[in-house]
Amino acid sequence: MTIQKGALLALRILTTIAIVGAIYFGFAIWKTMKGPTFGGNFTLTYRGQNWIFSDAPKKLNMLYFGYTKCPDVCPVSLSNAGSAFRMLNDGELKDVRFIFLSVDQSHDKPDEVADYATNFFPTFIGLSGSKEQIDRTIGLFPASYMLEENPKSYLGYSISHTDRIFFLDSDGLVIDSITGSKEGAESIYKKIKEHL
Amino acid sequence: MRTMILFATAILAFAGTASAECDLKTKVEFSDPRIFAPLKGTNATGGFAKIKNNCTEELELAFKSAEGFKAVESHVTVEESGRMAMKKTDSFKIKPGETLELVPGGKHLMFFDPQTEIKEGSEVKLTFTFNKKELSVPFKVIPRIKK
Ligand SMILES: [Cu+2]
Repeated sequence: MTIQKGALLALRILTTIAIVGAIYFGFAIWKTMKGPTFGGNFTLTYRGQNWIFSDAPKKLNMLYFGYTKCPDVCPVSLSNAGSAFRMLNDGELKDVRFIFLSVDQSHDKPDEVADYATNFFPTFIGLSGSKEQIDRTIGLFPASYMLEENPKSYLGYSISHTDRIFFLDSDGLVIDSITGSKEGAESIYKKIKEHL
Repeated sequence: MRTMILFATAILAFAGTASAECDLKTKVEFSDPRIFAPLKGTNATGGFAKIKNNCTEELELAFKSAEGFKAVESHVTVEESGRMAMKKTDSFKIKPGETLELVPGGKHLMFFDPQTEIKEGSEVKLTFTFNKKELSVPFKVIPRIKK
């Protein structure tokens, strides 16, 4: 082997290492930027009946956690989502559904939740579940809730919860999210269009 | 010097009594007082307004009652470790010349368990106390959802 050939081989090896390394690091960076994957299939109840996400998934599924006695943040988010749905045409409406999950297991009755959701748009789905089902579902998402006792207030408690609308693909995986109460109907509508 | 201080105290005391006479009806300005018509599936709803204090003293507003509702409360919505929470508060303070803004997602009024049907377009009489003096103001019932 001449010195020249040796140098050429070394160069080739180095180049290969550099390319592989670049691909590897690029992938690692892309993965970090993409963030961890949230979501998945979940089981809850609708008007007391079992309700499974994967039974009738749509191309785009939206999910929001709240409770019916929350008169402030939830209804603002839900009415913004309702207004966004009103901007969609019939074809688009077939490909998207909106799910409202009440995290107030001990006070919100299944029928109340279902009725409450339809205030904002007729097809909105209001779900309940056992405490285990609710906790398991919320655990799949970057979201949380906390019930705080407040004996001095009329309700006797309040629930703090994440105020975010999650956009899920047909497998229930999170592809996007938006702050439901701060960003208006127009922003929600744009995101729906983007993902349909 | 001593007399001056006494004199100043007297003026302050006088100012105190004078402003205590502040006429709530003309000096407390409500803009856009409204409450959302209750939605089906819930027993709670919210009320909002801008309230300007044109008196020369600070006013402490407490929300006493609303015609047709079993209970009322004043609340503040706050963000805590990424979650939105509502906190009950006993009163709101408004400095002279300043405006208290009751808005969705901020300080607001809450109404529980309507005893009668609260119809869109009707008015609900709310009773507040400002520094312990009562003032009633009609709030308009508006739809929550813009159709
Ligand atoms: Cu509230």
